[in-house]
Amino acid sequence: MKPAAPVAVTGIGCLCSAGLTLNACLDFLFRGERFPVLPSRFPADPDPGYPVFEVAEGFWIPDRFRSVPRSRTVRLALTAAHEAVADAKLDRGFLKRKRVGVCIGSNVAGSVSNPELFGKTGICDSDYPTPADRFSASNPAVGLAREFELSGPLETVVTACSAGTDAIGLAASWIRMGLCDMVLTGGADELYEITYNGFISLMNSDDSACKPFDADRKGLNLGEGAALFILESEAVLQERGATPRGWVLGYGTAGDAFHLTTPDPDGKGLHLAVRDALASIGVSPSALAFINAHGTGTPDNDRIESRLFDALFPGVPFLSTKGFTGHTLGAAGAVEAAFTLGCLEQGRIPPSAGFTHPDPELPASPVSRTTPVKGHAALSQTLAFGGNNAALLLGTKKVGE
Amino acid sequence: MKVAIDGIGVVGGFGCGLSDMAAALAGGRSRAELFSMATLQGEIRVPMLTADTSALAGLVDRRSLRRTDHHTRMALLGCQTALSDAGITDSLTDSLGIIVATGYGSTCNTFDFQELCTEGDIRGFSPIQFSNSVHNAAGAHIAAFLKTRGPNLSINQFDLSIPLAFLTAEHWLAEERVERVLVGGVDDFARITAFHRQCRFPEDTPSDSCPIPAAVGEGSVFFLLSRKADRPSRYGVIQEVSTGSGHGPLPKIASEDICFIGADGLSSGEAGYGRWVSGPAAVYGHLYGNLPVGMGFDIAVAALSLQEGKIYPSTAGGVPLPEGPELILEPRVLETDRIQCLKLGGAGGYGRVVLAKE
Repeated sequence: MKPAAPVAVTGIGCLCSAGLTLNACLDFLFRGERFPVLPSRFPADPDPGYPVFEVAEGFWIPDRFRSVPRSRTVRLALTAAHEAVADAKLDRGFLKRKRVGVCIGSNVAGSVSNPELFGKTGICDSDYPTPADRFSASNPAVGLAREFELSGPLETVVTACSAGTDAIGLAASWIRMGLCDMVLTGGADELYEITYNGFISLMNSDDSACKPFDADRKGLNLGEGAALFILESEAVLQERGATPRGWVLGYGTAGDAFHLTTPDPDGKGLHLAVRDALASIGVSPSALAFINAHGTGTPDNDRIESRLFDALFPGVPFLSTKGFTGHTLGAAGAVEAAFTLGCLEQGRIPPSAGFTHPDPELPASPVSRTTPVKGHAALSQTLAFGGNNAALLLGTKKVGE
Repeated sequence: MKVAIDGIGVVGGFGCGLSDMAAALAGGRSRAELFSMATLQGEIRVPMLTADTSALAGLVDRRSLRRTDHHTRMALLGCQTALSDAGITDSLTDSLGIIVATGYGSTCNTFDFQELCTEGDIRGFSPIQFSNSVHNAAGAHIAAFLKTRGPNLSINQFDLSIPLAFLTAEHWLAEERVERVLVGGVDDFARITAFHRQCRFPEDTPSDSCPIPAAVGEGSVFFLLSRKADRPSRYGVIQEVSTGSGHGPLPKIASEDICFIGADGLSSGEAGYGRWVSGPAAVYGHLYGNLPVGMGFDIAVAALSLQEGKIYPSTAGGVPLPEGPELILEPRVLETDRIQCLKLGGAGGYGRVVLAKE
């Protein structure tokens, strides 16, 4: 793979159950709190109940926006984008004048099975005459472009749980290739009953608060949220005189070629993805400040990641933030990339929520308390349904600075 | 960077493989059938073009198909056909990337699954069915069948999923992330797409004058791409890929260029072609029907045209032809070195893929 130039991040927005802005989320993480509850927006059998991490009602503030999307996923994406645009000190006029693309990961928005779109095949409503119309109205890339009048490519990445990571990696390529001046990129997903019941059917859900990397881990809790990043070309950076908040230093992606729902026990695909993320800019494993693991709390996932960390990154601290947020699926890679840059800025990482008892089967364990970290680069990785693996190398400085 | 097309696999209402597609193009035929469906407004009859995947049984171990649905089988057949067309019979390395574009994902499977949820019968949820309803299921199955651990991407952007897939393929090759990319798209016929067509075009029903109106289609189309090397490319090269939202300036279509228009009689962007294209143009919507990844079939026809040095005639076959462009209605010799494929999506978005002789 050719060496890849770092791509500037000038703005970040993030919301999930931990908070409605990135700073609020980070404060919450460092307080070590978490509040999983039974789903409130759709019916869920309470016996046994499977808790989730919902975004607080009231997150949607209509006055901020010109458009009025019905889709909760689009509303989550717009709310994160609003924060990212403000963080980057951008105005709508500037965005409209530049070639700005949208590359966003999602699951629910890329699904015809959205309950709002189903079950009414005989009913035409005036706004969305057919389920397919309503489906297209829930696309987050279109929703963001419509709101900000963006002219570049619009892409929704649907690589399941690695979609947010893949979207950011692809968006960085768009900047490097000169396709766009700027890209609004990240991920967004809402909680809904299909994935909730689907994961229960897979026996992958924990009926208590999830415990990534813990000896007593039983599975995941679902969550919802969105995180959006502003990526900018060097030319636009200079034109604006903007100071990057961070950098996308590398990206790797690889498939397991193994099974639709079970990760390759040897983690070969994950190794390839991590190798490419590091190789693209030549960062050595020991130079990493920390690793934000996928860490779902499922036995297989955590075992594979622990073995990889032990083999490739001995001594590098790692954590899972899903104990604070639940698994936000298509948004997870982006939410966790936002946390990664936020933690690099603060020079510390929070405890890996839910981890209390080391698993003797795992060769490496996450941090159990707030831990200072050194260095300016960190890895954020995701594993997904279908054997998709993706890794982002993120930094607060360009390599060599 | 130029990207070479080394192999093409197509599966649709016309059959399987380039020879079936060429025969359908030459014959101008459409073999759409009528699909009956009960709705709250009564029974509707919708023209459909469906794909037969039985040929897949001769290409892969039949037992390995047990956990796959029709959507994935169409994708697998398209991929296997593209690899066979490229003469690849040995195992592939991890330097192969896979990119799957889809407008709706596995709609049939997803709807069957959703009904259980609506009925509150979560005990009836099948984990296999749930897994296959995830949009990257086809890409995952392809990687497992080919045993390749290269990058694997699934894209879902309606009518513009195909140009976005080609864009990423071009980038992966330029970055030397992979040596080859298997890129394409798949969409299946389902009640949701049938109902959508009926709602949009309630008057467009079978009649004596038009027994088979514009049909809802399904199928898959895949291309094996590589960086242009010294060896000759069988189907020419991908010269340019562009796409945008429609909020900015639109790319110019040179009046001397032949343009294959992605009109299928039902797409949301149909009305815009006349404003963009004034030169010679062809429409092949009758071939594949209305499906979000239909542009992939236009690209396959363009590659075939460049190889054969001829242009197949546009055929209505129930598809209303757009006004404005100078439509090619008779076979002709290809006198230019390149062909543009243009797709207009909803809300003014566009995708353009330009193919050229070397």
